[in-house]
Amino acid sequence: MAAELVRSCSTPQTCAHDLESFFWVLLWIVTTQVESNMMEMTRSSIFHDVMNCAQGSMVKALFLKTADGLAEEGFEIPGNPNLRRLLRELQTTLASAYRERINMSSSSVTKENMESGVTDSKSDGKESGDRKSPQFLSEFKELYKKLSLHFSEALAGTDWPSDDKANPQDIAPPADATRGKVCGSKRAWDASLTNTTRPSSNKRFRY
Amino acid sequence: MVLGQLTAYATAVMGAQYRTHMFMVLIVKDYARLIRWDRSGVVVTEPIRFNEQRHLYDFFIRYNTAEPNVRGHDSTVGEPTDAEVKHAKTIVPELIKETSFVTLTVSGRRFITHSPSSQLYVPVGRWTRASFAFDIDDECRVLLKDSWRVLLEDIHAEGDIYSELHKHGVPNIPRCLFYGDIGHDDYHRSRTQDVKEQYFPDQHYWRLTPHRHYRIVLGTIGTPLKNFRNTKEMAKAISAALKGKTTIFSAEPVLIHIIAHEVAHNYAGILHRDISPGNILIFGADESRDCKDPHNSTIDGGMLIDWDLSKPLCSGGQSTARQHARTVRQLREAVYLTPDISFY
Repeated sequence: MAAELVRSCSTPQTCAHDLESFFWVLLWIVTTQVESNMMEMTRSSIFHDVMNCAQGSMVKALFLKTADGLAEEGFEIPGNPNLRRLLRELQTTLASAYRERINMSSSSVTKENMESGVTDSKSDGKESGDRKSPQFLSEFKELYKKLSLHFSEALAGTDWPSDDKANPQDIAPPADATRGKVCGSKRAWDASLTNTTRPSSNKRFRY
Repeated sequence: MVLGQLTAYATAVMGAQYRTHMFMVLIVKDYARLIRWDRSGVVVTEPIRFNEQRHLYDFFIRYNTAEPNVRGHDSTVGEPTDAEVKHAKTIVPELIKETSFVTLTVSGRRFITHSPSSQLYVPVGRWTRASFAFDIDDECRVLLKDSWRVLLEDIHAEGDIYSELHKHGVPNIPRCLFYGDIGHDDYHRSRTQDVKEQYFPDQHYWRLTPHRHYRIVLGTIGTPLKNFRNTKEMAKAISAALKGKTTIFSAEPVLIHIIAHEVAHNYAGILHRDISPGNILIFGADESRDCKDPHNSTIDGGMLIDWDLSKPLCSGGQSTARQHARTVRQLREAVYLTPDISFY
């Protein structure tokens, strides 16, 4: 889910947000299933804090903008420079797109959004559509072109490892869970997760 | 406390069976309440003093003579023959370990799948159950999705979205074989919202969403993204899903034309709105080897599924339905946090 939508629930959802989601999917997979030099605490903070979509939270937007943990030279995926580069390029591109959108909305669109929140959604769309349609499409296409270029460049790389199958990584429990009550070992945390939120019957068919 | 217990019981019953609705009788000392659950909510009667009033007896007399579908049985669910089950197991390996089977009807065709198992959530909602199934007529393995779709003007049925995407040649999506509302409108549509409208028309903050029983059959089956065999395959699947998703916007001028409520709508594109690790599947050489469908050639490495939350975009580039977006987001948050489960 796009950082902008997490930050403010009055933001209308557009196709640029759909595009950003692809980055979060990749980051999520790399955090949970790929071996890297990421510390367990970093994984945990990405998993529990950055990916947390509680309304109004700035964490996701901050992560996107400041590139904490990824753009830093320290982040490595051993034997897989392509994947690391892909993640960092996607993030850089999306961060600048995010900044542009925020700047634009703080100068002109904010008022319009607030008004459209109370008017009928269809008439509002038509109205703003006449003025913004070509711009929205060209912005979207530009962003898509950049993202797909990152993907195709990375996939064209020759030094992808061939035997690095999904490898579930240890994720520490959220910080407040350990603070509040002694939570025990990681295994206890996993067990509680399994018992409360993962019905095994459903687990097999996540389609 | 009692409410929690009742909800848990209702969830267990509605989850472990194919049911359209169910009744409960709650008896406390000298009064009783009748309770009716369906996919949009629950109706609870005023207390019935059964020593003085006859409503409770009337209910039992009527329930006793009622047809199964009035009691909440799903009339589109049947039992397969032993021979059919045996045949299904040879084609669909996922069914081998199952012990109890049902047939489900979609567009007049019968499919064999396993009986549902209870899930832990609340009885209301879309209740999507996706399971591997056996197509009796074509003798092939398919994915059957049984759900209660949201009946609102601006939300389109997933099958309509797929057929529109297929028409525009959007790559990297699964092939949609059959779809449609199933069963009779009287029973396979939620009714709680009607009761609310009739008796509490002024309670605007009770927002009940009407649901309609719906099934869709997909002919392309992929591997979940998190089970990737190598990272390149995983990156390729995401890239493929990205490409398919954006084709709808890239080719100009693509107008999405959906007929809903007998009115044709034209849109500038479709937002998927639920791009998550669970909705991107790997579809590479291993997957396409099992199935010789020519549609496979339009899939290059991965595909994007679950278009049932998608929204058409008006020409301004914004989603037409903002008012429902918030609930969707809250649900999606849970999906992301606990990646192995589906909340629908």
